[in-house]
Amino acid sequence: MKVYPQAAGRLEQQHSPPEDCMMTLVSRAHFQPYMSRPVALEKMGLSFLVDDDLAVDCVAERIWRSGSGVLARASGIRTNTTWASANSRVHEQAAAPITRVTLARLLDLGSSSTNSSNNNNANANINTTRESALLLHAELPKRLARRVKAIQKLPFIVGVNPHIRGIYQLYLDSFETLSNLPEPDDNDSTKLFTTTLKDLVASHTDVIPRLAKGFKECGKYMSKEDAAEFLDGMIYSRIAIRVLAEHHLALQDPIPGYIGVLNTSLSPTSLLKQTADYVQELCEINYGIAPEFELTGHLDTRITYISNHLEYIFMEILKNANRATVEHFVKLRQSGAVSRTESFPPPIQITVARGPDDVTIRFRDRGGGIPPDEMSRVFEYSYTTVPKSELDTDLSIFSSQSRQAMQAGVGGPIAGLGFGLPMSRIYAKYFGGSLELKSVGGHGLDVFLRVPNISRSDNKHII
Amino acid sequence: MLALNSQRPMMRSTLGTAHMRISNQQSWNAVLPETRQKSRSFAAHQTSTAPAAKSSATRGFYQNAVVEKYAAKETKLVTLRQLTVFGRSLSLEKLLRSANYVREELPVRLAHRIIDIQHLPFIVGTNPHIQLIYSLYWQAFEAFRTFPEIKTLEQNRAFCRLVESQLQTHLVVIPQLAMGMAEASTPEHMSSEVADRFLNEMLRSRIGRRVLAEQHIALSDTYEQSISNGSHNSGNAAALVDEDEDGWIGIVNTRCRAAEVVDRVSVLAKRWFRDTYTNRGVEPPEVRIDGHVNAIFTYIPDHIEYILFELFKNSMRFTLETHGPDTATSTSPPRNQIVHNLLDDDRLFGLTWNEPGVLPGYSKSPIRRNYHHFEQSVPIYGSEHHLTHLEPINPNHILPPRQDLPEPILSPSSQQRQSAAGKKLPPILVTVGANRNDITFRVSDQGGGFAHSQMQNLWSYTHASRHVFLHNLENMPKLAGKVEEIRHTQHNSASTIESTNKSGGRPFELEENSLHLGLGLPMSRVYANYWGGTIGVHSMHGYGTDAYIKISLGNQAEHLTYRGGDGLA
Repeated sequence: MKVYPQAAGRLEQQHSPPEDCMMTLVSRAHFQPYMSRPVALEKMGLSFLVDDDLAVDCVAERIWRSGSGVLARASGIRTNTTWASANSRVHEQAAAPITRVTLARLLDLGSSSTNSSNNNNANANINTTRESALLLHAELPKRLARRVKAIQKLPFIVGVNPHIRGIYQLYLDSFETLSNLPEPDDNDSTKLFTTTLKDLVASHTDVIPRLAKGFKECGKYMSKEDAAEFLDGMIYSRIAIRVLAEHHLALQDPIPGYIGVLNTSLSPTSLLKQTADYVQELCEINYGIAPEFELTGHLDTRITYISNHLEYIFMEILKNANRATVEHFVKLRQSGAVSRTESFPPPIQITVARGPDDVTIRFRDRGGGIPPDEMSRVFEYSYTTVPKSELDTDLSIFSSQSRQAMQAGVGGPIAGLGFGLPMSRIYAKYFGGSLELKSVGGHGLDVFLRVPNISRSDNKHII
Repeated sequence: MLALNSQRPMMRSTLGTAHMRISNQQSWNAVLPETRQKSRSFAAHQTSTAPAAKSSATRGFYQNAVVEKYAAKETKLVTLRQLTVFGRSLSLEKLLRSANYVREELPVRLAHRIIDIQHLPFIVGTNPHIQLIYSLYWQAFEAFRTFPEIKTLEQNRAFCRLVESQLQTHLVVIPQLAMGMAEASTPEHMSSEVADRFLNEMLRSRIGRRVLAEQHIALSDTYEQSISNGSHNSGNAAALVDEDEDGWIGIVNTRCRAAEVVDRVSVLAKRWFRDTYTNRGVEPPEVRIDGHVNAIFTYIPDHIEYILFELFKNSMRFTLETHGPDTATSTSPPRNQIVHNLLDDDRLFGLTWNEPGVLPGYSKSPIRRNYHHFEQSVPIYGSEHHLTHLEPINPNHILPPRQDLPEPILSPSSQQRQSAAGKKLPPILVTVGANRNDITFRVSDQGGGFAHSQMQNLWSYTHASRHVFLHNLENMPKLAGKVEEIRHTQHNSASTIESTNKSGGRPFELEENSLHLGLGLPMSRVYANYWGGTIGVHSMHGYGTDAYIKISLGNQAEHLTYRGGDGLA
């Protein structure tokens, strides 16, 4: 049965629609007249027979945004298939506003467990855990649901790709698992929640490489902008979910110097040394030579941050710097611009600067810089400075394993998939910092990583 | 003001001073004192309903048709190559063509700016500073518009005199404009963004007009010299003049060498440092250069030198503030207190004022040739070798060290203090990168940097944080916005430093020399953008600042429309 706008309008005026009224909305256009009146629609208690998924989304979202708080009843929007009813819970959760978690709150959660060390340690810890578990139990399903929904909106052909499909299933399963868990209001349920969360975190480790592969294969089916928007959303949300989850898990067994996942006395210098050594080794295995690195500036700086995030960024920047330096050096040597007896490429200079509000780390290489036309593209996903032909053959040849490692990030083998820089920038921006590149054409590149001081009590940064 | 002008007529090697007094000189002398008085009571004018002045600034509404006619014409953009083509194998015919091009082009460009002023909010147009500018632009417009076609060398001489006089008269434009816009950019009148955009357009256009004017005058001088030198064969009007061996064609140099440019400017900046901070008893930071030091490019050296000078000045100043004898040691971070105080004040925004145009050859190349002094710099890595597409440097082009600027004389006490402090300021490192398409100068200092939140105000002339410079602008009647004027002041005052220091006082010029006007960086960006380049700044708060100037190689046309953005990233 079809009800056309005029008829529906009449229904609305009556405010008491016939109970058996079923409505088929053939397209969004039909729906337009009611978009401004979601509450009225809801009051009408209409059940919809909908064959346009988007329209359902629209209604659900509109009802939510109107602030009427009728989420539960919004699920009264029913469709005539099991397929749709399975999705309705996702939509419902995805449309629910997420609770903003500030960094300060995260730190508070942790500090109550570490500070009250002596007498009530066990009790305090349990309380903290429960508080944290409650927060996550309410929060994670909503965020997972948003991701599920975002994948659902991808073009069909992209969703068919095995990598993307796998990720979809993973998120959907995680959502189902978490939202079916009982609210952690006692010790047992909290424990159950925590162990389940641990499994989920483990199952999500390779999401980024899979995502990268999937999008590399789907490149031709989506515009760059749409893909970037999707990936930005995925990665941001993934970082947030992981920070929340890992923070909760880390709170279970506190380590001195840490609050949850936050390292409160992280030395950028030693992390830089460690990462640079590792990358240098990789580079030497790969190219036979590697540049030295020099550390200058305020080397005694200590900050509060998540080590993994910094390590990821350092690794990406240093890999790029090493590769560019060696390749430029070899080119100069071949062209005779640098003497053939010169066996060491110029060093990479790393400077740590401590300011009142932030710490800036500058990576300065002499790898020839980035030409202006490429500069605008370096933060694109799937952009890579590795030549295409080389990449294609590399991926299938055994001997190139070390080169793949050179390209790989800490999150897994993202060999030449070009996620390194955009992801590094997301990590940098995540707590309000920045990652910027300045090229001195023909000479080298300066990379500025600005890390905010997140331990400040006034930090309102939202996760 | 009148006295100042008559005491310091501008002199040029080939044109007599008698011509410098121009017909409308009187009129702006009449306007200026009046205006300067009014500027103090601008607030009063704002509240009164009557328009500000009955001076010549208020042009008749019905005369506007003439301007509109010219403003309807398109600006003919000049390219660097065109500037040099006019000058290569200079003949009388080419010179006259150049003259007529300038004669026709200037009124069009002036008309565009007049229309821009007319579209400001009415209340802004009643500001005395803006009225002065408006009046000056009208006068210039009328003068060039009514100048008859130039057919002979004699007519060209008269035209050059007009151009010279206008260049001189318009030296008040930048300070007046900056003051007017700063006063007008209040929430009630116009936003800071709109005011900045207007200023950028005005200044960019101003650079363009001055390039045309100065290039033509320089070419005329070259031609006149060639006639008087080789008088035997100059009987015919087709005497050919080629570019000189240093690569100068008028004000353009086809053989700018990166290291020489940096070196010339660093000498000036060090001098500025010694003049400004005589009582700090510390030597200016060393300026080191590496990278493609021998890169050679075609440019108007004054433009790149202006930018570098502003950057060096900022770098030196903040290096001193951070590492000077009275501040923290270089190994520990600077005291945050100091950094914060500076930020409140005028961090990074210096521009000095000097009396311009008092030396012969004001806008001409000959005087520059004395500045080819070139310290031995150390190319550290990958220097000139692979720049095969660039011309190799001919050692003959490097002239002996110049003699005209004596080394500074530090008083014994300051020398002692320096040795007592026993340390040098950390150096400023200039790295040159050269590509097929562009050359980048990176200026790295350890001057403590600035807070991330300051970035957005960096390029504004009129942001509220700039208003502290207003009183400095009032003390600075003229500003060419060129490096030349700094040279001349230093040259002039060099001998007076010691004498006045002995007697305890400081010469007038030096007081003015250290005025911070808050125009340095935004004006540098206008200069950089003009030939299609960019300038960007990145700070490491607590450590130092890196500035990146990229100039485009190849045949660049002037960029007269504002593009904004700091470009590089």
